[in-house]
Amino acid sequence: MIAYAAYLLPILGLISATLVVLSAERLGERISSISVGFSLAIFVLALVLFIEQISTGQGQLATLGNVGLFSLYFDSLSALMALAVSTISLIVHLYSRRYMRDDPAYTRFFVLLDTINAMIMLMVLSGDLLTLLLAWHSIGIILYFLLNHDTRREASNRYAFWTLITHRLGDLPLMAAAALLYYSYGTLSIPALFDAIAADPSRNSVFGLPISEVVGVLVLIAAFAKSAQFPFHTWLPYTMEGPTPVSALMHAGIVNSGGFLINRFAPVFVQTDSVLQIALLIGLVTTIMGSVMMLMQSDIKKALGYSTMGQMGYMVMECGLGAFSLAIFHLIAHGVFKATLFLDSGSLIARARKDPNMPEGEIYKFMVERRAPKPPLSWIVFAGITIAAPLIIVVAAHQVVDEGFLSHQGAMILLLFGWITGAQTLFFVYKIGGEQPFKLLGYVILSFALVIVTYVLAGHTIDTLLYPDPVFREALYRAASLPAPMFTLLMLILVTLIAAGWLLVFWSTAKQEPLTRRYRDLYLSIYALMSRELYIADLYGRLAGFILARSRQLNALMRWV
Amino acid sequence: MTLALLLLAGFFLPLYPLSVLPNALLQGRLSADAARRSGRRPGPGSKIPVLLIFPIVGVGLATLATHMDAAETGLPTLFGVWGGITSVLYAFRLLSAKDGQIWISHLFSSALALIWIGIAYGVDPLLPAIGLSVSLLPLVFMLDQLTRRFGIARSGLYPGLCCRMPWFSHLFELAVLTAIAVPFSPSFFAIAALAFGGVAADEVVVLLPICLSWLLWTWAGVNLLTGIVWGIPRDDLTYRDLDPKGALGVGGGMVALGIFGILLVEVAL
Repeated sequence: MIAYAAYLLPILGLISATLVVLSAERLGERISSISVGFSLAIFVLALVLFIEQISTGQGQLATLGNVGLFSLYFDSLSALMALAVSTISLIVHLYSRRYMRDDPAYTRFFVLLDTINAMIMLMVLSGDLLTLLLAWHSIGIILYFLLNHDTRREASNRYAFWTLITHRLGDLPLMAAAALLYYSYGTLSIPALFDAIAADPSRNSVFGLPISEVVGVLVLIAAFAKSAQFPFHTWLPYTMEGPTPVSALMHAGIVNSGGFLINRFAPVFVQTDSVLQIALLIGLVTTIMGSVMMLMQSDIKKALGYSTMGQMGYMVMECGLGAFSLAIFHLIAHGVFKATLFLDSGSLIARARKDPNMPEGEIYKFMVERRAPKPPLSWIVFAGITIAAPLIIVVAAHQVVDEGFLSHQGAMILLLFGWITGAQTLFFVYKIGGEQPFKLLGYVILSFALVIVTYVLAGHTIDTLLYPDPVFREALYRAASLPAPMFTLLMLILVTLIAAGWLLVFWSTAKQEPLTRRYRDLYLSIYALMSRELYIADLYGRLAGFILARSRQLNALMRWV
Repeated sequence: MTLALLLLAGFFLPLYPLSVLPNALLQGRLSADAARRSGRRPGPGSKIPVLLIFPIVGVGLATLATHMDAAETGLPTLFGVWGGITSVLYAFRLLSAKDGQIWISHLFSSALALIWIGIAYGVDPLLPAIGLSVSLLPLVFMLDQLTRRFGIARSGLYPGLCCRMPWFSHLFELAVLTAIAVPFSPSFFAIAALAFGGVAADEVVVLLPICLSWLLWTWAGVNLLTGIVWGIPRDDLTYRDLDPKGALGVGGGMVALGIFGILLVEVAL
């Protein structure tokens, strides 16, 4: 029954879009009340359905009689995603109401916003491959029109095109995956398909390769394009040309589609041997690129854009480590904080233009006045605290909440990242010094411990909600594992590199001789390379120009017939 | 005999270089002299028979040929590969087409050539062929509207129509999207039917041309929108939008096409 009620989630969005079109002439800007009202209704319904789903626990399929298309599959994953999507959509609707006032394309904006939300809902709820494809393709198309909001601006048009073509590059592998699955198992229904795969996972497809491996790779490519993973990342940071609410919706919602898709196809990935490692590698590269590029930005919205790229890389990496549900938790948490940051950035920029009014604290002295403080402790002692404290917190938190967690290879890598993040924060305390460094250090350690414990608790809860079967969870981690000797060697190298790196950084900071000065040429080369995003966008631009020129030549040669 | 029938079908379901004939017909090259002499501009009526009848005749001939191919010569597979190459060739050429007539003719050739993949690999080709060809009708109509207003339907000559002719622009966007096989258009479902039905026989030969052509259509579609709908409008032109009732009528027709697409996929899969 609740699966049928879930039909209302996309339908209400479409009704809202239709009503907005029909009443635009009569109501003017008051049409936003319709849109916000429907958005609120969708949120309430998603919340009720989510609570209902938690109590029943079973996934349900709803179909429209004999029609194969537009079936919905309502399980814990779709219920949670529907709730997350409706929350972010409501926030964006409420914000847009005032932000978009006096915009000449006010009506069109709300129509497109409602339609894209309906399509995202359809995507997370889809119960058959064709409906999933329809929704997946539609999102890219509607996003193109949303990003083209300022129809006169050439840059908007150019970056909207980049977005659409990248999304389309991701649509095609998903269609290929769907076609291969249909051919191999003879059904389009998602739950029936997953049952069939579990019963007979060893079927072969292209070039005799196992179907699960081929489909796994195709699904990953589709997810990479939507979630701006390397080398499909170029569209995301440039989409700031659209209105701020669109940026918020995109960075908080649409880019998360990749994480959802990987989770939806978990029953396929669990049968693979060497596919999730690709996700780990690509996620890692994207995380590093996004984070480094974020640090190089002076524009707050661009910095947020690259931060999304880094976070999406982290989310894909989590999937690549077998921590599928953690990726869902990550995308929801990231969606909420990124939407808030984006929506706040608009007003922050406006406020800062009127009054910079930066409080003159320790950060001000360090960042603006460039005053290097005296280190509070011997560098070796502080380096010891920096390396040890986060490690103890992350290990202890996981050990308390889920003892078996640390036995997974993926968990170890995640701990490594938690460790690096914590150490980075503590290093910053050492660097800015200040009058009460130990108080600051205490606060940072306490906040870090709180964040880690909450993260672990929430992650564990979502894990048992989305994947209640411990055997399946175990199998996912196994699918993401590397051979044990290779993993041990990798861990040893990584831990040594990281610890040595921190010691080197502390030592050079204590000597007041930054590494960026000592290795200036190397630093500048890396800076130039990263500021041009490894020249990938330039390469795409050149390639596009080359293709268009060849097309013109060929047409001239063939006399246009 | 089989070969002769298949080659004949290649005129109707375009196979390069046989595709030159339907292309010339759609571009109005064959009737250009007559039109010039009579002083009348050829309307969309001259293209509609090509769009609707050619695919049906082509499918009929090809089906007859495959039924006659009792010795299983492998000819249909060869024609399937030929169709795939033709489709990608025209999709590639579509990228640089700016003239509306050329654009439609190249997209027609690229789309209908894909039907050969269905014929070669056992997919019932009739519904996908109709789906792909009827999806071009709204764009033919909209391009004709442009020709009536500006004397020529050409990308880049009168950009920014969305600011001056909003009703027209909305419908034009929908027509382009329908033509390039985005979701809910019959062509989307036709492509899905070909891919899902044909993949069993040969994954690479079926999926590669379909995916490549589809990607190039999207690129070409965006190029067309960029040169006509987006940008800064010229002030030296007179603009005349569609009246809202007429626009709603055309929009209703497109919704009907979407419903037809859903029916198509229900029958095909």
